[in-house]
Amino acid sequence: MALFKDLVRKQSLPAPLLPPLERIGEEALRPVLGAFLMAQASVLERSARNQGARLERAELLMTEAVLGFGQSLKQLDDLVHREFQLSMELRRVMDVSGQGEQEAQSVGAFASRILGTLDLFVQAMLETGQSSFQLVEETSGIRSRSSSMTEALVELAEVAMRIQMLSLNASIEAAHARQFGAGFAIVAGEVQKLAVRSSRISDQISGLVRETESALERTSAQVELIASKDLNEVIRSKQMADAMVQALETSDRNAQDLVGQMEQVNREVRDALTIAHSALQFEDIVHQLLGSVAAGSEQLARFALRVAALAGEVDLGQRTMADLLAQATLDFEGFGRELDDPEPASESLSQIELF
Amino acid sequence: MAYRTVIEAGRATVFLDGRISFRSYPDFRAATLSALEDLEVRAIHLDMAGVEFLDSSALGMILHFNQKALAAAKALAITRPAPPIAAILQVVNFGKLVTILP
Repeated sequence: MALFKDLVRKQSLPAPLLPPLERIGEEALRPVLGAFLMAQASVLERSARNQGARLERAELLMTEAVLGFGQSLKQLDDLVHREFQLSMELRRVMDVSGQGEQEAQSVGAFASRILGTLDLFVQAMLETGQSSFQLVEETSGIRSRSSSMTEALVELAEVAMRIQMLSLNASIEAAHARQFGAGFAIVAGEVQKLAVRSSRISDQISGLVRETESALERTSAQVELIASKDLNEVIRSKQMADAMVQALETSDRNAQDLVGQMEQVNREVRDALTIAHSALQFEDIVHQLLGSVAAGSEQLARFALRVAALAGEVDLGQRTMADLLAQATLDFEGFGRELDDPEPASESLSQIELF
Repeated sequence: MAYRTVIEAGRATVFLDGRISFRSYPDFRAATLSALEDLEVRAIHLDMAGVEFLDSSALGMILHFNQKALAAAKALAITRPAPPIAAILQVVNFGKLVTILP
């Protein structure tokens, strides 16, 4: 309503309208006053019409703006809801491994498992190395015993050869004894056969011992192959695993942080949306204000008609100037009271509590 | 691998040099034999300041020797490993199995 008052002031409504009548003749004043009042009525009517058109345009624009704003808020609300679902999904994916919820593993636990597996591998390698040297000592003992066996076999072969010589000598002596040595010759022949057989068995055992020694050599070579691993590769693997685990943990921390920030942004946008939805309440208040201003314009138009009617009566000359002046004074005072009417409580912006 | 063994005041120090691998075992056994058999010796130190390289079999060799030393009631320790050797020992957590002294 204050705006309306300013508008009325700017139209320069006359107050007081006329100079003292004693100084101007009534008949001379009548046409001047009629023309003056008509001019004022025309200005007031034009002003009221313009304000009404502007108000209609303002209301139309505001309605379109509010409609667009409401649609944008709806879309924003949908997007925020989708973003919230995505952040929840992301957190779930980060917190749960592919082994099901019962065995959920964080990246940290996964990293520990990798390093634990590598440690187990290293431990197994060390145990293999340790066992290899126990095997080396065992094979060394077997090799030593094989060597003793070979020496024994050499001695055995020498004994067999001596037995052969003895049996040969016995056969010769039996021949010298002719018919008295026939039995002894048979025994000497059997002893010789046993000696030959013993020698063959000894050779066979020697062959087996040589094969055993050869197998021991091959075993030693295999044990060396198993036990000897270049640890530089293990060190590189461990360092790579450490770096990978560290990168995974850093990445996990960053992702968690980002998800946290996303959730925080989501909460803040939701709060802002709540405020924006509340702000739409202004639409009703502005409508009321515009209605009030429109009513003021109508008042102005009605007053313009009244002033025009007064100007007509001045021209007609049926009423005295004093009477018309009194009437005009009453009309202006009435219009002034309408302007001074207090505004409705709901139109006071300072009293609106939105949030 | 070259070696030298010094026994003094109940402690045997075996100075090892060069590269230790599977084929160093006879030398290693010879280097540690006197320390193992000496009843006065209660502690055996493997001084590795001069060791340039060792592979997994060398670690197995030391663990095997540690077992024998424990059986003979002697405490084994590795001393003064050079940085590359110390890195290997650290990576395989060897300190949990045998005492390592700087």
